[in-house]
Amino acid sequence: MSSPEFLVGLDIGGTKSAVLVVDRELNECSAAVAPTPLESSDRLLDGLVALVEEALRAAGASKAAAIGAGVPGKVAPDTGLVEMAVNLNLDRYPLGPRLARALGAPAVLENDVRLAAFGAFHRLSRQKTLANLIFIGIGTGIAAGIVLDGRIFRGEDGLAGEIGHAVVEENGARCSCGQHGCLETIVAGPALARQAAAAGHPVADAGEVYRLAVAGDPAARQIIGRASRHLARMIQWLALTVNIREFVFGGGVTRSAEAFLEPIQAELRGFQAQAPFAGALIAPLRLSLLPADFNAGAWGGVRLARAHLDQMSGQAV
Amino acid sequence: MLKATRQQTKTHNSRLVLKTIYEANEISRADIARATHLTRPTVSTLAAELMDAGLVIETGPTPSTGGKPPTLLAVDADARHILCLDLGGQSFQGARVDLRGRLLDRVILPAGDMTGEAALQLTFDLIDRLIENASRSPMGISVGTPGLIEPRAGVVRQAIHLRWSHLPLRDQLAGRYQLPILVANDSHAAALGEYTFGPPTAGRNLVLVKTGQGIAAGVVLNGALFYGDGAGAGEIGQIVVEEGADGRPITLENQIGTRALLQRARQIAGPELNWPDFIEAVACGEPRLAALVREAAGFLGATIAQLIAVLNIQQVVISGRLTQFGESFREAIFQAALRRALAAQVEETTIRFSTLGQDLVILGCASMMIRQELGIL
Repeated sequence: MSSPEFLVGLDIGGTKSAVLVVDRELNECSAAVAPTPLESSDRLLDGLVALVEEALRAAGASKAAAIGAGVPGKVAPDTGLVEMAVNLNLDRYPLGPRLARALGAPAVLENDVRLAAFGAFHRLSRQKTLANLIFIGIGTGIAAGIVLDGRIFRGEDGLAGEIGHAVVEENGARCSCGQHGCLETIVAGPALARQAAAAGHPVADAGEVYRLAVAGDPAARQIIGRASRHLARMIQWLALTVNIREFVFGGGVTRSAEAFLEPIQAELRGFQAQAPFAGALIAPLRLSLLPADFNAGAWGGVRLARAHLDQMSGQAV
Repeated sequence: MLKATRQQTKTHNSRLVLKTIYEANEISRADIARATHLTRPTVSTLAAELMDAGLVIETGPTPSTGGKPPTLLAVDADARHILCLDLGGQSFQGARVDLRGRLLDRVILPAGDMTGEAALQLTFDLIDRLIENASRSPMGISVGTPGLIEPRAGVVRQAIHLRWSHLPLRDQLAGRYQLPILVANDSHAAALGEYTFGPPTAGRNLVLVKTGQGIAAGVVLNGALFYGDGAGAGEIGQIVVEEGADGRPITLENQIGTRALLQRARQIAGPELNWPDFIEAVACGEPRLAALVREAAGFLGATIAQLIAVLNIQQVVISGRLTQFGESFREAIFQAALRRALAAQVEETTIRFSTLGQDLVILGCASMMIRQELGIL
């Protein structure tokens, strides 16, 4: 093929967006980050196009072969329509076709958490044989991205992985969605900070709650213990339901690294000791954190762009 | 990327044509070409080969719309038979099944508490009887059995009730019968049976919850069985739903499996209570037993809610003995699910009882073999 072989991964966030340009061997050629313009959909599109063009220039490329982009919201991957992205002020906006026209290359969209899952999957696939993976992103909310047999799993309505609004405590705290006791009200960043404030610790962010817990503060330990127990239960539930072994965590709340992961691992060890058969299914679980310097969303975008090109050439044969 | 060899392309196209005919029931060669984007001559050649193989037959012409009416093609459902086995429960069941999921012959052998080598011998007997009854050789043998199964290798890793451990069932059957063999977990097979032969839906994802002494599910994702990394997908019976008085975790199976549930019912109604009387008493509205069943519905509904939330499943089907509690039980499950996940998502979901009854595992076994050997379904 003589067409340009630079692939672009774009991670569109509610405050900033990141772009990554790689060559056909997936070597990184350039990367850039810029604030996401939110004034209007036109400004957003212009800003994203400028960001991609700048990165392409830096990579010495005139044009991209394909673009894969992650959007924080609900998208229709087939049409490139953003059905709803509250943080980007988008409502039924054809971002995919607009990006494609402006950049002169096919542009594929995916939900940002799912795209991060895809990026995390390919990162680990370089180290070992892998079919399935679940990525759990925890920040202001919590959601999962599910990769099955090497492909992003969307569910019937494109809502697969919305674990944040599974009710885990009946009569729990009220959630922004209107329900009570959603997982999000217990384990997400704002929820941790809110619980700490209620216990007399006005904290700046979730990281501080984890630090207090590690330092032995009883109230913080209780808050983190409860969050870890619910996360471990969700992991156990997923392990028994779909029997997936590889779990990767990312997002602001997980930056506390060991302080975040260790209590979850301890809870899972407890489950294993108590329930031998379930334990046998859960025993080989592997939990890991995304490296802080790895942009899973942008890498997922690059992989999605690549998968799109492969699919196109496959159809042409 | 690897270029497809001509043979691979031909096999692919042949399967595509067969699938198109199967799904349409009756279709003309011209319509096959339109549906598959293959050329007319290619379709004609492939159709002729499928007719030579006995899989496809010509049926009557379409109602005339003027001009020469085209001949229609149909899959001969009787062209291939599959021997299907269900090794769960107190008896081993087997059936000869056609390509449309019709049961042509059925053999049931009481298994009692047979385990190990004896259970294996009974499996052979069952197959021998089915082969004796048939006038021609089957396309393959497909077995659904309880336990943890490695489906690709056809090894029963562990089936506790049958006391099978690391049993290479596929290889043993293949050596004995010289036929294609498939081995699957019975709940997995049941899910595929429901997906294939249950009421048609637009969705490509389905969960079937099999209820009895044990509780287990089969998961169909993107139109195919999903086994998971350790082939243990669907083991929802092992989910911890509550903590007991002694602090030990109680699993879903120990909470609402038929044995556990009957035990609880006996604490209320006395040690003489049997299962049919339990069903009857609940149907008549005995308040404390009805409350017990509602509580069971709550536990099942909560688990199903999570399936809906996490996997975005819109078809949840329940089979087995708990369905004997009827519509009010089903409604209670749905209401419990509504309390545990976003209403918008639950309302898009159908929670229903399977109508395929005792044959669910057998039908799933047939579906697996038809998928593997012919690429249809």
